[in-house]
Formats: sequence, C-alpha cells, structure tokens
Amino acid sequence: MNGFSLEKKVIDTISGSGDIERLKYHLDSLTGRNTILVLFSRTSTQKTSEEIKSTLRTVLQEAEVKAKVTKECIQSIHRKLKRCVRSKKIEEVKCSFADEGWVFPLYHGGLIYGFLCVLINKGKLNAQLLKFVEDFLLLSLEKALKEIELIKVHSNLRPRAIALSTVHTVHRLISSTLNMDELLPRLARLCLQVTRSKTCIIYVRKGNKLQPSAVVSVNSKPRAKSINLEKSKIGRALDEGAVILTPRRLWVPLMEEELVGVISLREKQSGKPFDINDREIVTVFAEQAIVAIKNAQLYETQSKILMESLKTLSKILDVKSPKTYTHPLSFVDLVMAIADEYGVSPKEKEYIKYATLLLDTGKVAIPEEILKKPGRLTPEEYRSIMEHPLKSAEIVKSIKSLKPIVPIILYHHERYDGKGYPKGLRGKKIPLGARILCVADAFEAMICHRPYKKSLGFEEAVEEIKKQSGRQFDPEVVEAFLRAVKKGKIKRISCRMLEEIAGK
Amino acid sequence: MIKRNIFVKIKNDPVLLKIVKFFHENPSCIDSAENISKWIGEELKTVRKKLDYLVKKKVINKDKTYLAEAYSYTQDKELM
Repeated sequence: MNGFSLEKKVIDTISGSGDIERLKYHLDSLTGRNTILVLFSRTSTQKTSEEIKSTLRTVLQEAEVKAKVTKECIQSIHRKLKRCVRSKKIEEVKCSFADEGWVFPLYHGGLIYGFLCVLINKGKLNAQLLKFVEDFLLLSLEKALKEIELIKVHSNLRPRAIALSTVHTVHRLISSTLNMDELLPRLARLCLQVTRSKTCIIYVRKGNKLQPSAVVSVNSKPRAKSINLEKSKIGRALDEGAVILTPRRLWVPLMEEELVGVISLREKQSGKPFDINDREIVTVFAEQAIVAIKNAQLYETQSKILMESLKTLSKILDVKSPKTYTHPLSFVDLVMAIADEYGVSPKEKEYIKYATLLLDTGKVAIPEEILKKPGRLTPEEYRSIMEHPLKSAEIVKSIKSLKPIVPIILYHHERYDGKGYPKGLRGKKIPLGARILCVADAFEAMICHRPYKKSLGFEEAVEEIKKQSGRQFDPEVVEAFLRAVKKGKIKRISCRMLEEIAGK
Repeated sequence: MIKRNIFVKIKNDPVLLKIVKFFHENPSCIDSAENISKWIGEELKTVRKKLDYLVKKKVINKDKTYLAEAYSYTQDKELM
C-alpha cells in the first residue's frame, strides 16, 4: 500500500465511521452554534483552490448553510493546510462566513493523513474545546488506523487460513483412501485442483522406471511416457530427491528412503508460471501422499495375506467335507462377476469375497456320515444341513476383522420371497452380499453334477435363474447375473468350474 | 451446455451466491461443509444442502471417503 492510498483509506474510514458527525454534535452542543466540519485528505495541499472551494461548497450545502465562499477564505484554508504539513500543529484560518476557523492536522506517528477544518460563526472555540477536538481526532485516527490494519491482517490471513484448511482436508482425504486404484487418481485430481494446473500425472516407480499411474487433465487426455531414472536427466535429478520447477512444469518427488514416485504438473490454467508457493504446497502434498501410498501398500499386503489365509482355511475345511459339499475355487469368480455387474463398492466386494471363501465353514460341525450319505437325507439330517449358515456365522464371528461378513454368511440361504432359512428374511432385508451369493450358489449347484441330482445345462440353468427372479432371487441381482451372462463372463467361469470339479 | 436457470437460481439465493463467490475467490480451496459454512458465515445445515445442490449441478465437485468429505470448485471454464 503506498502512502497516498493509505491516507485515502484513513480519510474514507474516518468519514465512514460517523466520527465527524459525532464531533459536530458535541461541538454544536458545547458552543450552542452550528459548526461546519470539513475533512480534507493529505493530497488536498496539492489541489487547486477550485477543488478546495468545491469541497467546501458541498459541505455547506449538506449542512444547509447559506454563505458565500470567498476567494480569501479559500486561499486562507489552502495556505493553512500547507502550513499544517510543516508545523504539524493547529492553524487558525480566516473565513468571511465564520467568526473562527481552525485547521487540525490528522497527525500520528510522524505522518499527516489529512486535515479537519472547523468553522464556527458567532461562537468561540476556547483552549479546552481545541484540546477536545484535537484529542477526539487523535482517537478517531488511531481507531481508523487499527481498523485498516485489521482489514489488512484479515485479508492476508484469510487466504492462508483457507489454504491451510485445504491442506488439512486433502490430508484427511488421501490418508483415508486405502485402495491404490482410488488413491492415485484422487491425489492427482486434488493436486490439479489446488495448483489450478492443466494436467497432473502421478508416476510410480517400478524398478528403474517411473510409470505414469494416474493422469488427470482439464482438457484432453495428455500423453504420459515412462521415465528412465538412469538414462534421463530429469529421472536422475528426481531420483536424488530434487524438486524441478520451471515456468511450465513442476516435478515433486515422492521420497521415503528412496524414490517411490513423482507428482508432475503441467501449465497453470491462468497461463502464469509455476512459483515457489506451488512448489511448497505440492511438496506438502507429496509428504502426505507418501504416507498415504505406504499405508495403501501395507493395506494391500495385509489384504493379500488375509485372503491367502482364508483360502488356506477354506482348503483345510474342504478336506473334511466331501467334494459334493464344497465349492470350486472359480466360485469366487462367479460371485465377483455378478457383484461387478451389480456395481457393488470395492469395500463390499472385498467382504463378499471373504464371505464366499468361508461360506460353508459350519459344515465342519455337521456329522461326517450326513455329509457323505449318498442317498436322500432324512428330515432330521436335512435340518442339520440347514443349520450350517448359523454354525458358519458362529465360527467367523470370533474373528473381529471379519465381523462385517457374518450377515452375508448367515443369510445366504434366505429367499427373496421370505421362504428361505434360517430366519425367513424377505426382500432387501437380506444383505446384498447374501442375495448375490444366493444366485451364485444356486447356479453353481445347477450346473455341477451331484450324486443325488443331475446337472442342468448352462442355458437351462440360466433359464431357471430367470424363472426364480422375484421368488427365490432378488430381481436386481438376477439382472446383474444376466448382464454378466450376456457378456460371456458366466459361460467362461462355468467352464472353469466344471474343469475344476472334474479334476478334483 | 449450461442451463441458464442455474445462474438465475444462484443469483436469487443468497447462500448459493455466497458459496459460489467464495469458491470463485478461492478456486484452489478444497474444504469440508463445516469449514465452508464458517468461511461464509452461514448455518451448516443450509450450507450442506446448498453445496449438494451445486454438486448436482456440477458447479462444484465432492470428494468422499469414510473419514472425510470435501468440496472444491469446478474446473469447467464455461461455468467459472
């Protein structure tokens, strides 16, 4: 802010604050006369007499004072304003329509911000009143300066506070994304948003190369090539942890002990060059991103370990049960194909996958002679078989991290029309995972040969699923199943399942 | 093609106008409904409702994870 603009702001603030009106009210009350107060800016000393005359006329008109503004009066005010700058003290002015006139400098901290001219007819401003006006003006000036300072601080701090809040929000967003396929595009999008760049590419290190893993752009899809960390100059610099800042490009390495990836930004939407602020903010994001990427990688590893453990557990359980009561490994693919077509969220898909592997855990609690019985089961034996979802749920419940899959396992033999077991739940009260498993389980049972039941052909089994839509099965799940059939997914999985069973 | 009535609705709704003005002045901002309500000095419940309307109209974007949800300004130049 230059000197003149600050002075102008001070005068505007004082005149907008109502202080001059308040001062006039006090002076009018104390003197019993109509005082005329004219506020002049610091630049008034450089103005012509005509401009001062015009200001004075405006004030007189507003105050409804009918008086002739003489040349001598204007010249006197103009002269005293100039003298005030040098003396920094109150100066007396002579004016034809006022008995007394004074110019008060608005002086603070070695600076003059403006002047107040007080004109009074048939009245006196004694020493006490002059001091009162002086003190009043000083207070008003200090208040105006504080207000301006506050506005300045506010206008400086507000964008910083918003930026800080943005950094915090981005941190929360990326640290709560544990799926790498979601994390990298999200990170790219957020970097693009914050820097208002045209393109953001997140590279992930694979060996001695940086592979583009997420590309986000406001315009067309840009080309992104992999970068060799040994052969390219940029690659070598990034590998050493250097941030590369050029007017149109910004590269920020994602470093832990070694280079993990790179955030690359191209061109600002405004056309301005990238600057140190962009560099700082993307560096903060990079620090947050590396933690988030490491977390996601750790989560991925953990999920893999859990999946492998569940597969092993499932295989161990299968050893006890005869093959007629176990699902082939491709059964998981069948369930996932339907879930994909249904549009199940990644997290829920994961739970459904775990549930699929542990679906029949409870069969370990069923006597072996029942499981291995070649002929028809007695009602009592059938009841025992019907209890397996309860028993499976009971076993799985003990593993805390698998709690979300318990309802899927427990209700996978429920029917959409409410005629299923164990609870006879109806419609959407049956968990989605269980509704999907119900279709997959029935389809697998139909196409796979059982000693007690002949298998149906693929087409027949599909028709049967269609027929049971709205009765045994959720129509929406059946639709998803039929979409998967149309795409040829189910046929391919069925073939794999039959091959697996034949090879058991 | 942006429908003209979105602009009319924004112009006639003080909270919508405040939100859009806030994002226009701070296009890099990515923030929660709670914070946006503080920045513009409006009640959270109303702000959340208006934000979701603007998301629906694609004037702003919404990011949601299990831990956080955040709103940011569109990158669409025509809208901006």
